[in-house]
Amino acid sequence: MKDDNLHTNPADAEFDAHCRSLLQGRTVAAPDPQAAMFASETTAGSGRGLFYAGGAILLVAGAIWWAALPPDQDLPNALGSPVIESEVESTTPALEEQMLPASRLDDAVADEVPVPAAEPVVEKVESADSRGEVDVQERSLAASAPEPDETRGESETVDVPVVEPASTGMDAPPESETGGAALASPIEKAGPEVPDVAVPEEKTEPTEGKPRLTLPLTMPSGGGQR
Amino acid sequence: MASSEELKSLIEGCKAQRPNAQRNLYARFSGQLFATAMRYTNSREDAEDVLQESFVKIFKHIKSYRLDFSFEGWMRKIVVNTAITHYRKSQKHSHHQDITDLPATPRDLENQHDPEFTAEELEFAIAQLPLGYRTVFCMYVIEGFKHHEIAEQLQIDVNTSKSQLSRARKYLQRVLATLSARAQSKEGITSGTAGKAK
Repeated sequence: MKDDNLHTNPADAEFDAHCRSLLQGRTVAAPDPQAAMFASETTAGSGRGLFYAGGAILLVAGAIWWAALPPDQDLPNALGSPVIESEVESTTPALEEQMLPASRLDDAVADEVPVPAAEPVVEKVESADSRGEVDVQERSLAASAPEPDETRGESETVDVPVVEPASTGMDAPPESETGGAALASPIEKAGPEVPDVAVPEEKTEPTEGKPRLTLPLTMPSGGGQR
Repeated sequence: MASSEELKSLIEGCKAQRPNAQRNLYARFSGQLFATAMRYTNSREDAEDVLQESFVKIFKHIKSYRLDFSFEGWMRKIVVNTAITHYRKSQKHSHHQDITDLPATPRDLENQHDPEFTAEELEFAIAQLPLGYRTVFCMYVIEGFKHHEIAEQLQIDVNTSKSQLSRARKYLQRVLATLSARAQSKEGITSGTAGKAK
């Protein structure tokens, strides 16, 4: 077996054999094993465990995402102004509106809240709002495209007059001005007027004819005020 | 010792990374493997490190183990290789120790070729060897490595492996002879005292 054992004398061979027989079966009290040495219970069924863990994570993430969604998607906030918390109180239909495509959103809003005449088209702004964003471009377009009362209805839930030019409704001021003013007014007014929900009087505040926009619940950092 | 069927079941459990199977495997073989680790290290702490690392490697590579080989031999080889790695690292920071020949008395020389010693005495004698000589001796005599394998593992010359084995063997024989002579002299003293008492 050992090709290099040719020169080992018999005494040495006997000594080696004796040593081997004594030591091969020897045992010594071993230390306690470290826990890290062994596989954890999760790695034991690693495939299934990972699958279940991933599913649980997805469920939790989905629940958190759903909870974080703004409840009210009625009126968009073109400038990302602070969310009117009062919208929450009327969120049941608003939540449904979130699910509605933009084209249907107006209908839902119209059903919920009557909009005074000569109100600008806030629908697109609303739809933007439903996404938690305000699209200035859309607001401009909305302002330039007068539409009925549907948008006004949002004023119940949104107390912030948003689009000044839209408020004129009848007149479609230049988009640039509209945009600028629209940008300015809601921002300026959004902050202080955030609160009260569904106060009919609130509707009348913009008796100037300014439309109101429903602001999303989610508030961008800094309140969006300028 | 576990039967072959139990051992197969244990191995399959470890391949499936079942913690219970791994714990059982450690409980069954840790004593034997720790004794092996002790022979290749200079301290109990080093031996414990070697043992822990060895079992990690065993659990990691057990899927590659084939049943037609001796499982204990496979594990022991892992322990030896791990210990040798430790030895190489320690060699970087220590000088090579040489065996100092023990003065041999006539009685020692008489007992040198009469290997009557116990396992404890042998382990004590082996522990006296410098780590390099001890590694060569254990790899050759106990683990069954050949000199060219030892030379490759320890990164030494084949002739160095042979000479170190020869010197280690003689050293052990003399130590064991000394221990045996002392034991016999104690027995002689004891029996003499008993005789005088009578």
